Amino acid sequence: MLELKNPHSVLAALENRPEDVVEIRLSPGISRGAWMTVANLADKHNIPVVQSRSVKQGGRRSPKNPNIEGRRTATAIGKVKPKPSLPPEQLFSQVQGNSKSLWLALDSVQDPHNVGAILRTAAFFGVSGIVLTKDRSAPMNSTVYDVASGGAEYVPFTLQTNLVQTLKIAKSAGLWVLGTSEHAEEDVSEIDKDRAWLLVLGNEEKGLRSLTLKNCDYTCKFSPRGEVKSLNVSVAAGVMMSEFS
Amino acid sequence: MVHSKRRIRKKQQKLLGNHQKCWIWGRNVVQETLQVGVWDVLELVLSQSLPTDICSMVTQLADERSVPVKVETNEALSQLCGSADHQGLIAKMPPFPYADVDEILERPTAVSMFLVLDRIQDPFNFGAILRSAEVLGVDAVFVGQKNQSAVTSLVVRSSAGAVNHLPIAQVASLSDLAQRLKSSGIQLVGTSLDTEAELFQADFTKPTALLIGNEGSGIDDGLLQMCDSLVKIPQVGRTESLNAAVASGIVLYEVARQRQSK
Repeated sequence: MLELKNPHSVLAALENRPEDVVEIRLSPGISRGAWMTVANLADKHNIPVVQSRSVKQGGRRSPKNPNIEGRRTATAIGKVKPKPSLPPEQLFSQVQGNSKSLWLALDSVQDPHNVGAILRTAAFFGVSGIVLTKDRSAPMNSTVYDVASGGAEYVPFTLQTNLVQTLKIAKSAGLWVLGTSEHAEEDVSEIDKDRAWLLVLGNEEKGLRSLTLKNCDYTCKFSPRGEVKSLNVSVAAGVMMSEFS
Repeated sequence: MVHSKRRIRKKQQKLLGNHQKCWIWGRNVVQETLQVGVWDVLELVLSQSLPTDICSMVTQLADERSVPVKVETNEALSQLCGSADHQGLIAKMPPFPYADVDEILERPTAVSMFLVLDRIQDPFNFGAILRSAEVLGVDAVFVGQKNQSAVTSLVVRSSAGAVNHLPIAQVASLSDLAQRLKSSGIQLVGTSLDTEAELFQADFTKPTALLIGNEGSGIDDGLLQMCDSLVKIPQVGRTESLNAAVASGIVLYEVARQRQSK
């Protein structure tokens, strides 16, 4: 069971699959803001809203300014069932010929903050679907949902052990697979954007696995200029999505 | 007797933070900080299990800069820096040496590209923004003093060491700075959700300072009024906003793209 602390991620779950929202717990101080919207909507769906006295606080100290928006102190919790993974065949059944659309695959991205941020960005840019790896990867936990700030609810995803197999299914459904790699020759600006692309992004340190790379139709890179070699993977993902949108 | 005890307490050196927070960790970050040398290292602690080639390399670097070196167990390192992913290298740091505003503004650059951060509170966002700024060729970053994440060990970590290569200056008033930038012919561009102007229509080939706002409330109204133009990232999907670090990355990439193709 997920315990979500970001009201926006709970709200998105309520809007998309209210049947999976089990309970909302509020501490007495909450009387306005996003959590109140959550409570009202939950009420409409007959989901229990519990006033609890002792919702766990993040740290030992009490928050200095509990009313400032954007401070994420756990004054409330939404208990939500995890969203089930779709079978890849069903995910890719939405591919429509080779008309422009964008899909993502993450090859062993390990930091839940990165996965969450990528889901949030994917929802912003209307990405059609995401493939996530199971092993040596961030689990789809509460942190991912909270950082995604609703993104996990809007973008369909599939959790897979065998990425190469999934890429093959994607290709036969009509997608072009584009890997990102520092060693690629072509820059992202040279890629034809008007296709149905599946972008594959790699692990924070190691990038794409060699078997994954072998199964890409194309590879591309960014042209960085600084001393630090590369962008953070969630930022790189954002730049790619923006380029392809 | 209690009084005299207090008085003889050793005079303490100023540190980056209290307790565990004065340490930076990780192989690349520590090695780079030593190598670049803009931020003095007070002490270096190596793990016993550090490979010998890396060990001799950093010890030599430390010697050149007369930094004391200690060897401890892996567990001792984790305890000192409060993190297990130190990769056998940690360094004790004094407060971060912020750059001087005048020096930055007087330095001749081809076409200036500055980043102005208005109350970025999350250290991971701050670090990721610095990393993108460095990779995408920003000349310097300006931050305010109030409600702004300082350059802490977490920021250093998530910046992947970019703090060593990118001048970061702290100013008392962001609006005074904005005024000063504008009067020296630098366009001030803000990112906002309430504008029709899309990112790709903006002209970033002119000297530019890009303004990024707080994670929750965006750019301060006073600063927003001072902007020469506003841009937004074209949206296709449903969530209404992007993470501050991702948004900065996308805009900075567009800046770099326009300047490269010019």
